Amino acid sequence: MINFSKIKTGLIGEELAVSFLKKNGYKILEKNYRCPMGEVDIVARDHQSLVFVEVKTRKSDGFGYPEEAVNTKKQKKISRVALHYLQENNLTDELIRFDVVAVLMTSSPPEMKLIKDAFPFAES
Amino acid sequence: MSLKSDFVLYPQMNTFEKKAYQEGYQWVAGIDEAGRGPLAGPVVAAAVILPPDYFNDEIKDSKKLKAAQRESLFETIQRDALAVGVSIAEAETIDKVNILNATLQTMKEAVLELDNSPDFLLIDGNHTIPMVTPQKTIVKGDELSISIAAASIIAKVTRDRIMEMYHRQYPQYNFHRNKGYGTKEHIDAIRQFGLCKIHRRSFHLKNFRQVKFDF
Repeated sequence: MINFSKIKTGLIGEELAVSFLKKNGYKILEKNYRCPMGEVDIVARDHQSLVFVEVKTRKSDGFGYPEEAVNTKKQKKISRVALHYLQENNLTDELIRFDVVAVLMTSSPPEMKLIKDAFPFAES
Repeated sequence: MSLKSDFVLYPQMNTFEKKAYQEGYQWVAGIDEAGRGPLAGPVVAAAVILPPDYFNDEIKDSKKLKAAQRESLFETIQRDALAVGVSIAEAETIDKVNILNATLQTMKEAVLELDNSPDFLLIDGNHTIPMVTPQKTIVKGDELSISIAAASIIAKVTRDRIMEMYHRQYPQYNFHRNKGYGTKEHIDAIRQFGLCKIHRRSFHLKNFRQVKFDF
């Protein structure tokens, strides 16, 4: 069964993350960029860098900190998607970065945290 | 023209493979790694099973080839090989289990990545890998065995591509040029900018910041 409440939490988190990134000077290029390799939540530009952003939303902090929720498998997946994006758009020597936006919904307003360079490119 | 002198100049690189097939083994894999020495980035292992009678005199030790030749041979090997397996151990793993263990473990994983599981392994260097599969280690294997040479090319090209991606994340170190090796330029950058996420902490790199190191 699809967990709608979980999807909703994710969507709200992504919207919050987008405005949070904009406030931090990021230019949003793509939301939910999809390709055969998978999906990445946000593609943005921060100064010279092209940034692939994973949004982690948590309604409780019972399972650790959201920024720690990007496991190796997920890192590899995001990296593969990033590579696809770079190839598709012929961005051969653009600087890149992987950031995580952690959204903690336990407080109101939700607590937002930006982790720049959350992990290095992970080849699978 | 003398065939004999050719043979002396260019020793056949499939001698070990031929011998293994003569002994009755059916799937002989060559295994090599790239990136044991550098201060940053992963160690990449590759395992390659070539067809039993395969020969291609362009396939040799990856260190003796130019980058463009390696790139083109990478495609040739992917096309001609019966199976290719690649595995990567990140700096984090290297720091945790030390470089030798990380190398041997990732070599094993490269073998397990092969679609056809081999019954005999030819391994570059002098360390066997922790598997029950019969194996032979060959020092300078990448110069003596075509399967190991093929694995060395796959590993090197894969690793170089990763280092080029790292360069785009951490441009101050010029990883696209030094591939993480301890060149002067790289060490100067460590002194100036400190370490980044892909540096191998266990290689005592923090010393570079204060102490002058000779290589």
